[in-house]
Parts: sequence; structure tokens; C-alpha cells
Amino acid sequence: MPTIKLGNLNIDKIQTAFKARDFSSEELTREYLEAIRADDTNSFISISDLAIEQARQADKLLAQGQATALTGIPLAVKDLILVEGLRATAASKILENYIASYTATAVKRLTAAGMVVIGKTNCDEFAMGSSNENSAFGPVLNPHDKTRVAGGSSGGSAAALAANIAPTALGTDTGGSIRQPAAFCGVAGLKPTYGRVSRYGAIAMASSLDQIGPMATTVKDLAYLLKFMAGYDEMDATSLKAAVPDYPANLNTDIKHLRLGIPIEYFSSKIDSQVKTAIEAQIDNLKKQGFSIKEVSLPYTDYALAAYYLLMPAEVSSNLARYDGLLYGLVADKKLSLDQWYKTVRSQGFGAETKRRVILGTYILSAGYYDAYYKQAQKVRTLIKNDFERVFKEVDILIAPATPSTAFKVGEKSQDPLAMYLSDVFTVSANIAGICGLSMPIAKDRNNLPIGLQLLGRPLGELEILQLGHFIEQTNK
Amino acid sequence: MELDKKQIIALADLAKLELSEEEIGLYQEQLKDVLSYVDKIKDLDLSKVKESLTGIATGALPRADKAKASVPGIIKQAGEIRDSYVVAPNVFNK
Repeated sequence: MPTIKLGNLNIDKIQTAFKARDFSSEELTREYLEAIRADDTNSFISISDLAIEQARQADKLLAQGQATALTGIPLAVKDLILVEGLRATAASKILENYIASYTATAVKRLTAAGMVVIGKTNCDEFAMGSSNENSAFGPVLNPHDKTRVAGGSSGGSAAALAANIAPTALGTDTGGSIRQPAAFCGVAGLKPTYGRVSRYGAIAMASSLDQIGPMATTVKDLAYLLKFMAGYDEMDATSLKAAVPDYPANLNTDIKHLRLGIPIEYFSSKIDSQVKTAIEAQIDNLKKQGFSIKEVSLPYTDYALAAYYLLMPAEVSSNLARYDGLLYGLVADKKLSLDQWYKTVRSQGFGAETKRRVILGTYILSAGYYDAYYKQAQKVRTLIKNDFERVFKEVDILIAPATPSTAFKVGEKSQDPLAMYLSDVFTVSANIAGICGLSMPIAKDRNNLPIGLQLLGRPLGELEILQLGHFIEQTNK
Repeated sequence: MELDKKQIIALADLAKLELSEEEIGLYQEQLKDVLSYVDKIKDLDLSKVKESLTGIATGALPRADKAKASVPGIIKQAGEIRDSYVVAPNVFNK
């Protein structure tokens, strides 16, 4: 078997190698599985025992000339997303042995295009966290510095890409869970518009905010994955019917007409000076390239995180009520009363952050506080939506930092939930307003840690942010 | 907003969680911090603002309520199954 160099691979390079018969999908898949077994970042929770068979099928399609751009490409799937026959733990003890009984639509579409699921990646429990330290399977370490966090909640997917143990991955993003770990690990990640990708088969955290999205080492690879994942699905009542553009085929068009905006609220004192300098240098670069760029204001930005930490826990406490240990998941002693059974299963099965958010959500939704908190937060959502609607009349894309700092140390914020929550400050607005956002690496700080740029687009503006991201990637080479 | 120990215990009970003394104290402190942060939305005059359930109004209606064959596999992972029923603990305490 040829030894394949897994570093710097992307979809185009792999397809070229398949065509040149440098290696087959099965050989490539075996290399990745071996690399996952040797991994020291804790990026994966489980390896798929269906991978080799899927790769063989892909090789047949490649040999018959019936392949798509994705046929034979290995894919890592966040363990929050269901793949029939594989464990889906949501990184929680309560689902430690749960085997998915059906496949999420997004995954189904990618495997129908020939992708090979190689395994399930680690994440924060039920996607609740910004550091991947809230996993029942242990934290994910950042491949750039293993004393630091990978970010969260899709930390395993981001770290797997950075460690070259998966060429493509799926994550979910409720408040920045794709974009923040992508920024911390120096990879690309896209949160699609709410409804662009079906949520069917994604274990629900906060249903009005959750989206499945692609993660990869290049922006072009995000475009390939999105093309196949996106589109209407009758199994998701919030799925959008809009046509899906051919994203990868339209990346290289002239985009100098795009009007770029700098949201001044994203460049406040909360941001690390090295991150700020890198983003500003990138903006200067784009100006030199001939783009029209102007400052814009999103005045309610400062209230977005507060609204998020009201909306999200309220939805979490409702969604997680289903984990009662009766139909699946952790069980308790049958001699207990039903009430004691529930309490035993949930107290033993949920981790600290999950309990914290369930209690917070229960409080927010309780009589007397619902009007004061949940309803008010939904009104703030309207103001944030209005902010973006107004600004997107003046500009096409917003340029901002993805995170206020680069990756922090393991343990640095784990005892201070509020400090941890503040690391989502630049990403939550996109989820609240339902718009799309892309995070991509543009530089490194003095500790050699990646710095992420964020591009925010209007609803269904994925093509534009992918085009600009691709342009930046090409010109920064 | 103040959260006392009794409230934390009552909330945990509603959420079907059992907390240790240590957890009660810790959550009380931590949730107090979070609530004082989120309280900033009270600075806004929202009296004339409408609520939004989601960011994007997808306009979608629930799909038609069509009957489909049941999927026996769906209860395959229940702790105990007897005669195609899932066995649950006693609902009423003895």
C-alpha cells in the first residue's frame, strides 16, 4: 500500500490523485483511520466500521466514471449528527451507548454523492461549550499547541482537520460552534443561513439557532460540501425552498463589485490587539485590491450575547427534557419511583455545563420570568435582525474577527462560565439573526496560533461569502 | 437578579435533576453572574418591539400528518422490552 502524505490534501488534490491512480479511496481511508488511531488530540469519539465498505463502493463508482466531486472523499462527522448504525453520543454520558437509527439528511446527501464517513468527532456535550472541555470523553487539544483548547463546540472536527486526520468534516453552529473552533484551529468553517441545510438528524440543542455546516481546510472545499448538503428537506419544517447555487463552479468570478462593510462594534476594546491588527491588515489588503469598503454600525451588537444566553438555555431546557432514560440512553434501577428514575438518569448522565444551562433555561421559562426574560430576548432578536437588514442594504458582506482572542489555555476559563460565554461575542449575532457566516484563517499571532477572519453575509448569501473567502485565500497564498 | 439556594433546589426539581450541596452552591454563584450579565437587556425600551421566533422567517408549515408504518427498531434500545412494550418504573409511589 502506498504511504500517502495526509498533510495539505484537499478535495481537488484527492480527486486528481484518484484519477492518476496514485491511491484509491480505500487506501486513503485506511491511512486516515490509522492516523485517527494514532491521534493525540482526542478529536474522535469513535471510528466508523462502515468506512472501508463505503470506500470500496466509491472506488467502484470512480472506476465506472460515475463519480461526483465528492466520491471517495473521507468525511468526519460531529458526534451530534446521526449516522445510521453508528454511535451518536453528543459527547454525553447519557447517550454513551446510543446507536443512531437513521441518518441525518445532510450526511445522507453527502454519502449519496459518494463521501466516506470515517468517524464521529468529539464536541462539547450536546454542543454546549466554547472550548470542547465539556465532553464526557475528555477535552480536545489544539493541534497547534496541545496545552490550549481547540474551541467548541465542534472542536473535534476543527482539530481533526488541523491535525490532518480528516480532510473534510461536519459541525453544528448554534452560537459560533463551527466558526470559533475553526478560528482557533486555523481551518475554514461555514455556518449556513438558518434553513439552508436540513437539521433533520442533528441532535437538537437550541432549535431556533442550530445549523449543520461544513468544515474543511480550504474555502473551496466548504463550497463543494455545501453544494451537496444544502436544499429543502420535508423532514425539517424550517428548511428553505430556495434553489441551491453551484457554489464551487462560481467561486472564480469577478467579485470586485461586492461592497464590504466593517461593523465598528466588532472592533471594540474586548478584542485582543494582535487579532485586531491582523484583521485590519486584511481589510487594508482588500482596499488595495480595489474593493469598496466602509464602516457600518450594528448598534444592538452589545445586547446579542445577553439575548443569546436567554434564548439558548430556554430552548436547551425544553429540548433536553426528552432524555429520560426510558426509550434509549442511560438507565437506572427499575425499583426506583418514576421521579427518582428521571432524576438519577439525568443527574448521572448530564455533565456540569448541561445541568447549568438546563437549570438556567428552566428559570427563564418559569412563571413570572418568561415575560421578563424569554419574551424580551425575542424582542432583542427583532432589533438585531433589523440591524443586519438595514446594513445589508448598504453593503454585501461584513468583515469582522471570528473571535476576540486566539485559542486559550486548557482550564483557563472552565471555572468561570461567564468568561467562557464571552468568547462567543462575535459569533452569536449571526445565529440570532439567522444569517450566514464564514470563518477562515488569515494570520498567526506571536505564539504561532491561528487568527480567524469572519465574513458575514445576508440570508442565503453563502455564494458571496464563499467567493470573497476564496479570493482572500488565493491572494494571501 | 438574586437566586437563593431554595430556588436552585426548586428549579433542579422541575428539571428532574438532583444536585449535591456543592453543586447547589456553585450554580447559585455562577448563575447569579450570568443573570446579572443578561439583565442588560432591561436597559432597552422594548415596549413597541415585536418578538421574533427565529432569525429567518422560513414560512414553512408543518408537513402533512400522514400515517406511516411504525418502526419497531425505534424502541430497540430501551432498557427493557416486554411483549413489544417498554417497561418503565412505577408511576405511582407505593
